[in-house]
Amino acid sequence: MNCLLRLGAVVMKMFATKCLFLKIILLVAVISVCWSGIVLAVQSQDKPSDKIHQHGASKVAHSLALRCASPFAVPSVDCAKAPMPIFSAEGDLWLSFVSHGHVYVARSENLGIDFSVPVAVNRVPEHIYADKENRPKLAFGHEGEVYVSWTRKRKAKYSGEVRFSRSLDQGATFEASMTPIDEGALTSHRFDNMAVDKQGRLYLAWIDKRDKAAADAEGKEYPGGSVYYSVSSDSGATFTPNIKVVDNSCECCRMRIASANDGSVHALWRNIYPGFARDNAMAILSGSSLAKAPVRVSYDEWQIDACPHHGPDISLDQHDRMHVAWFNGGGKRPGLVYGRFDSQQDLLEHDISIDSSAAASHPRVLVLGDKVYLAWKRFVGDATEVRLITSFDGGESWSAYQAVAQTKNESDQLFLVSDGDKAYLSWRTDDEGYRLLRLGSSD
Amino acid sequence: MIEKFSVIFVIVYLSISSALANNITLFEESSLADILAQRENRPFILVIWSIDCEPCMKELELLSRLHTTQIHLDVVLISTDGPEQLAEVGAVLHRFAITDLDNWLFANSHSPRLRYQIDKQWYGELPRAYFYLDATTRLAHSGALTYEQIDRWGKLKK
Repeated sequence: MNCLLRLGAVVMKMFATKCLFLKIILLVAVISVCWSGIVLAVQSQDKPSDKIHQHGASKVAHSLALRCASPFAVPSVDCAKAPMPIFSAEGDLWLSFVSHGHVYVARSENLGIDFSVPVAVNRVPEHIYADKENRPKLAFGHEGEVYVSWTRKRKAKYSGEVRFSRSLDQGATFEASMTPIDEGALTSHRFDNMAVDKQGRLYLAWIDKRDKAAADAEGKEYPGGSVYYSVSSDSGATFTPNIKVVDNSCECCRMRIASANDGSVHALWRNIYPGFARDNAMAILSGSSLAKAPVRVSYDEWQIDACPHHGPDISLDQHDRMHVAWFNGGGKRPGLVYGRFDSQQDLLEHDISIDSSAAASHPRVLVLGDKVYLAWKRFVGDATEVRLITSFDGGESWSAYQAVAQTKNESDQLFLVSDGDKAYLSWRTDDEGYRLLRLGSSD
Repeated sequence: MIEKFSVIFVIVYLSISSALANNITLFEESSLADILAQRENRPFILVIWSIDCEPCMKELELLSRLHTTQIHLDVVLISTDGPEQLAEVGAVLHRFAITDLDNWLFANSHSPRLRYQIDKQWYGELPRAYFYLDATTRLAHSGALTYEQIDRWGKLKK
């Protein structure tokens, strides 16, 4: 105790110095020590004990939230902002996430139990979108290239800049970040998305505002944004000029692109149709040309001049049929909807309303052979659970729902991922941290 | 010289952060009850918005205009952005000169739990508004408000 008092006296003397910088440094140090002390104190209470088993989980949750909230937290998967999963061809789970202005990449060789030390992608910190709809993404080239895309926030509101980097040494280091946008005066480009086609070409697509900005300058109405993309045929070294897919896409919903078996890439996004109907549209990209011009996928007629913040999800089967899940806030069928879209006939088949409750959100779909997994979040009053339904006949009939995960507090969006053989749920929650759960293991 | 700049920097930083923080209250599970209790059955408009919602800005611009011309209009603003976006939320409120409205900020970003406290039938789309006639009667609206809607409500409450 005497020792502590002496230490206190020394600190007080240092505070009395005339040098303001020293005072600031000292203040930061004191806050740091205090925070570490709080974290350590809470963590020390969380040490496994036979007597406190019942309360162990909530204490771990409390400890994790406290540790992650610390300004001195080191980047980790459990504290990751907006983690995005993907499996490599080797069956390793990779995550991209954001921490302290950097995109990080971490790899797990044992299905998310342990992760490698996260590697920073961008050398200079940036203001990075890391929210539910807009987050960094990973993709892999055919020669082991690791591609990362993300959106940097710009000063103007709703304004971002798509960024890209690659690693040619299996994620050990990343090359200097670049902006694959060919617009001279950057307007806004957000909601980036990547896919690698059968030939190994990298597609990068996003929601663009250049056409809206041009229309605004001429005093013309231009609802929403537009969809653009670029292709790289040299492993991300260079990109083609930006190619427009469509005008008047929803400006605040993520879009999705996915590689098809026939070598093309399918794009799906929420579009704005007359009367502000925000229905889904798709197109097929093939290199720098459109193999299929945009067509309307759904006719739910949710008419609204607002931000749904709720983009659709897509998974392609072996016949390149698009399994699609989306959300409507109103119109003909409010809630979550699934449908299978045949792009040869422009036909939406087997479309069903999954969950019409306002407590249901963010559906995700994953196809593995004839099996289709459909999962979504459902708030159940005092907790949020992940509900799963499964189809064994390509989306024509479905199982009853099963609650496969639950959390008491806040949670990120969920993701369905596959290593090519099995399906997994990827979910980060404030209480439990990051988790990867095998789905359908009892099938 | 460096010390002078440091002092100025610290003073400016503290004053901005405290000014922003002082005008915005964290919206928690019991906050809607507090808002209603404060108004004692008087009519008001509850407007929910976010910094990443473009149509919300059209609405805030309209509210800003009405705020300067119709000062009797009681508007409560709730941003669904979390505390980590306090500075950005504050900057938008400053831009539209509506910092003196009754401003709230979700204690957790886009929390379904808080959304449920406001309305179990609301899917989370933004902007969202509620025209309160009294503490128990309200009309919900999704999408940017128009002057005509506010005017209609104004006539309704009389």
